[in-house]
Amino acid sequence: MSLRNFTYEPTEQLFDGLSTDESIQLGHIWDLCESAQQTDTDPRKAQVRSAVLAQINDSAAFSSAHSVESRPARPPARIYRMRFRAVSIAAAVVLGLSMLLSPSHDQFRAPTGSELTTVSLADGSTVDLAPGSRLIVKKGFNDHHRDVALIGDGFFDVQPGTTPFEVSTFDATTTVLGTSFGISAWPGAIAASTEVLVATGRVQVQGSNGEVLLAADQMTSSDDVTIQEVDISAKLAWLSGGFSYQDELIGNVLDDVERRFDIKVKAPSSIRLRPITIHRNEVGDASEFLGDIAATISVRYRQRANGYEMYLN
Amino acid sequence: MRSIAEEQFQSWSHGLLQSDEASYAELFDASYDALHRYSMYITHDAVSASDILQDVYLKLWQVRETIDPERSLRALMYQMVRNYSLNHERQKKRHAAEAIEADHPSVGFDSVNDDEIDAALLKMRLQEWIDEMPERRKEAFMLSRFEGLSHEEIASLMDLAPKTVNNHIVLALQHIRKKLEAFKERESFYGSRPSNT
Repeated sequence: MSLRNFTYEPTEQLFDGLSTDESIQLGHIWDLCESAQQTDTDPRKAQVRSAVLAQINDSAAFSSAHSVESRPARPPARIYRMRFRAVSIAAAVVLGLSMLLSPSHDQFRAPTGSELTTVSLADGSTVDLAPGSRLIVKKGFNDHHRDVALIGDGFFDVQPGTTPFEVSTFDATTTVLGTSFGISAWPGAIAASTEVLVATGRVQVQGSNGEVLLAADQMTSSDDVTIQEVDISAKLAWLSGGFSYQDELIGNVLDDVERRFDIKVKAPSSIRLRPITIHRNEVGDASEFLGDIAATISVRYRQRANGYEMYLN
Repeated sequence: MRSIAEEQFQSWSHGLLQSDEASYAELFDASYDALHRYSMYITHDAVSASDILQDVYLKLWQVRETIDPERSLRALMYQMVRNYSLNHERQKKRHAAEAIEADHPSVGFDSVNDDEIDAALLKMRLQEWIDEMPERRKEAFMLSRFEGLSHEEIASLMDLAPKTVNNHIVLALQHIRKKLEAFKERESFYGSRPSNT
């Protein structure tokens, strides 16, 4: 079999001494890694360029060039890095995705700007999805298994059944027989983890660091997998149009606000990385809630073209 | 930078020797992106990488009269970026203040469209798997895979035998394959799954 199926040219040299099978497999991995390449250019390139060129111009006597004074200010853009990268990839990944995606699952999307989307499943269970969340119902649901996948916030009311009901999230698996519970799993959040909290019945959660059995009014997080007592109704405030956070990073709070009201909220990382504890029932519009946040942490906010901006005084 | 001919670098070397600012600016424009990426492999921080490159380019101008046009300017620049970046990392360890950021390198594809989220998820995973490899293996792999440096160039840059570079890259690919298989299995998210009954 030819090794020329890959884009990597000196394949023979790289895979010297390996079996043909192994070479072919590794060649495919080599190609797949294409998508992990970072292609975005440094947003500060122009700034660095003018700083450098200005300095060599001044330095007729180049001895002074050693001190670097006109360094451009650090932009707050750091935590958006992944976002730009992620947007720039689409095309290159098609090959890799074809290995992972099978087309025959049903997918439900809760539109942003809505309050709540309810999905009824074939076994009679229901799932309430927060705006921007997605539920993937795997092929053969209820016939052979009861497996779904969740990206985002979902509240599950599961009908009792003989087959376990299983929810996969990006870093955990939650298994139940019949019960109601909430899951929050935004892979893009700051310090992302899956949170599972139980309203009734019992739920088993498998995270990468271990496994735990939860009862009603308990929650766990996939990054430590310990049991915490929790006020369920506060944690599930989003079900009734509210927002409730205990020591949550503001960046993650703003993401929820963006999805709920379908707007953009801009904030520097000095604000995004700050924790906040805030609880509001039935929030009607974004500016009301953002005003509360701004007041709580003593920053300011203003309206912008397609949303709001939070900034330091 | 791979696509730039060695002769082009030679002509920039000569330009630098004569303190020709136009050559210098041209060299900056042509080499910045690749060197910034390389610094990012080591520092994982775009802002630090920009600062490092600013220092490297200024240093290059300061030492311009000592440049030997018979030797590869490209190799020299990679070497400078490497030394400055490693130095930066060493100093950073002394100031643990940045720990909060270093702990969460992969944050925030929050505003990506739904259609892009699967692609973003895979890309994020690939980057994580690359990131979790030992530093030197990761560096050799990324220089080869993403910057197109030859094994010999990587070997001399990192002070390794070419055979070792080769081994690093094969081990890196094997590592990623193992992770991908586990990913497909565990997060049966996307794969169809045999029935339990």
